[in-house]
Parts: sequence; structure tokens; C-alpha cells
Amino acid sequence: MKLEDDILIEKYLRGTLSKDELSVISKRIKNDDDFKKKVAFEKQLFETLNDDDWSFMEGEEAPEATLYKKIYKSDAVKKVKETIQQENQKYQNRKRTLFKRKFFYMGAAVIALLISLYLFSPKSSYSSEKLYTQYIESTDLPSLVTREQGENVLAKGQAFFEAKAYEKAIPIFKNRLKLNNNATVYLYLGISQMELNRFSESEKTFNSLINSNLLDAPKGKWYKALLYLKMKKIKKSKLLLKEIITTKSYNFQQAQELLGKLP
Amino acid sequence: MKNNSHYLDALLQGNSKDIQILYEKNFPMVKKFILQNKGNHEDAEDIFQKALLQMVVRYQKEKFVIKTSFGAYLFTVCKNLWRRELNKSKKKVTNQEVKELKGEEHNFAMAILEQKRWELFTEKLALLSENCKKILNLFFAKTPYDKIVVEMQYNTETVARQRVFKCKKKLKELITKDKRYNSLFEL
Repeated sequence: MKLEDDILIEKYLRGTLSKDELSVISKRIKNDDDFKKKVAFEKQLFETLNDDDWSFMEGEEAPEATLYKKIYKSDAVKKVKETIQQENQKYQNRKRTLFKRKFFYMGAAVIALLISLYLFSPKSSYSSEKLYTQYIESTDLPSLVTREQGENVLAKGQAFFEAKAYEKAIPIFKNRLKLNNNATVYLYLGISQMELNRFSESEKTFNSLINSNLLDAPKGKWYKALLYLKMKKIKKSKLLLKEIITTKSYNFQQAQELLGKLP
Repeated sequence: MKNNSHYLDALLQGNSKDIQILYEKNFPMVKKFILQNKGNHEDAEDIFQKALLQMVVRYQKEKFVIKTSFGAYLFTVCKNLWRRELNKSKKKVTNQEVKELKGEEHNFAMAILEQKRWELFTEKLALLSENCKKILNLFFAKTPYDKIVVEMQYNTETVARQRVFKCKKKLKELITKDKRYNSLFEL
């Protein structure tokens, strides 16, 4: 075959011939058997070797086709066909069950995860903050006003403290402590620092109280435990709470309750 | 590992255990291919069964040899049956009446012959030089000549056309020389 014919056939198969060219090639196909064969062969190549296409056969003249049909209709093949259908069903059912089971286990795992998140939610930082707020608010602080009547400056400090103006309250408490040790003032100071997230200062203040020989020194431990809770140092907080419980120190009952809520 | 004729024999005998092994090993890949190519799960089941049956019928008539792995061969049969299915609409328009008259077994027999023709063509294509294979693959994938020129680093489209012509000529010679060709060619 000449290159010109090859290009012509290619254009014909790709549908890019002009109307006139198409009319010419159609006549040639009709009248020239040799050319007709060439076109058919090219078409088969084009369709077979292009993944998006497929080359069909009519099979009018294929002797093999008759044999295949005969075998296909035979009892033996019919039986195999049934077996394949059954095995397909078995396989698909098994996969569906496996899928359902997998889905069930995945579902169960998700539920378990949600439950554990709910049950052990105190583990999360959010919850330790929440517990801190709950316990710091429920612990009664003695009033500085009643204890030290006439001390206007301290009363002012308490007012700032209650208004959460800790920045203003802190210098007042610090000045007061310069005069002498006072457990309640230590607590007000430590809590103010804790509320402002000045953790190391707060820890120092509570340690000063704990290590003092003041009667209310053990109160420092309870607040220090709350400080650790706020700092998300759960392990340290628990250790301190346990100490409070075993020594039956200040607020040991609340300590027990809080300990139960920690992971 | 069991050899290819083992599975062909097992299919012929309708051996449930081996059929299950074939499903376990090969169905997921076939399903994936069909789902990626406009088909659904039912199509995948249908094609896979047809492919197994095609091998049974063909093996009953001629003890053909699978030269690749059994899985790879089964996959190409499935792929080609699916190509056939996707292109059926094209055929229906032109030849609906004839098709309806001929029925299921005719369709089945034609699919075998077409598969055999595909095997003959691809087998011969594989015998060509690397360069010829590359350019013909681009050509059959309907790549425009200007792109073939770039891809193959030719100077002009004329050079590319001549190269396609020569490679195609070689391929056609190899195909027509094969004795299988006579029974697979039709006008």
C-alpha cells in the first residue's frame, strides 16, 4: 500500500475527510475489493489497539464461531456456568458480610472512642481548667475585712480581688506580707497570681505559706493542688491531693472528691 | 504456586474451591477497573463471570496456553469484555436488527474471536522495535501528529507519518503471516 492511500484511509477512519473525499473513497470501497480489504484491516487495527475502542466481529463466515456456540450451549458448560454463578454469589455474600462486620467493628470503635472521651474527659486540658474553676469558686476564703478590721488598705485589696482586678490587688497583699506573715493574705496573693497565670510566683507564694509555721499553713497545699490543676500538671496535683487526704489536712474531703474526678 | 493449566482445568471441571481462589485473587482488581471506567459493582460481577466462562468454552475447544500469569490474563479478558460492553452502543445503532436475531451464544462466540484477534494483534505489536511500539501506541491512541513529532523528537510531521507507515506495514506483515489471521479476518 502506498503512503497516500494509508493517509487517506487514516483520515477516513478518523472521520476527517471532506464530503468530496468521502464520496470518492466510498466508491473505491464499493468497487475495489483489494482496497476494501485494506480499509477493513486498518479499521480492525485502529479499533483493537485503541484502548477506548473495540473491534467487533460479525462472524458470518467464521467456522470457529459455530463450534464455540455449540460448546456454549452444551450441558457441561451450562453446569459450569451455574457453578460460577453460585461461587460468585458465595464470594459476594462473604464480602458483604465481612464489610458489614468491618463496618460494625468500626462503628463500635467509634462509639467506644466517644464513650472514653466522655468518661475520661477530665484528662483534657479543657476539663482540668473547668475543675479548677469549680473548686476555686467553691472554696471559701476568709474575709480580710473581718479578720483585720480597721485595715482599710487590706479591705481595698480584697475589693480589688473580688472585682478580679488582681494586678491592683497584688501590691497591696505583698506590702502587707512585708509587715508579717499572714496565712489569709498569702492565699489572696497566691490566688491572684494564679488567676493571672503567673504560675511560678504563685507556687512560690503557696510554698511560703506551706513552709511557714502558721496555723493555716496546710491550706497552702490545697491551693497549690489547684494551682497544679490549672497548670495541667495532673500528676503533681494528684500527689498533693493524696497527701492532703492521708494527713487529713484542710479540705481533705473535697480533695478526695477532686481526686476521683482526675484520670 | 499453581500453574495456569491447573486453573483452566479447574474451571472446566467447575471446581468450587479454585473458583473461590480466583475470585479472592482477581475480583477486587477487576472491580476497581470497572468502577473507574463508568461501570458499577453489578457490571463487575457480570464481566468477571463472563470472562471465566469464556475461558472455559475456549479451553474446551482448544487447549490454549496462557503466556502471562493467570491473573494478568484474566484481567485482560475482563478489560476487553468491558471495552466491548462500553462500545456496544456504537454497534447497536448500525446493526440492531441483526444483533437481536443472533442471540446470546452468538455474542459470546464473537467475544472469543475478538479476544483472539486482540491477542494476535498485541502479540505482534510486542515483536516490533521499541521505537515502533512507542510511535504506534501514540498513533493508535489518536495522538495528533504534531504531538507525536514532539514526543518522538522528529523534525517534521512528514517524518513522523513515514515512520508510522513503516511500522504499521511491519506490524501488518507479522499479523498476516500468522496462520491464525485467516480465521480472524473478516470484511
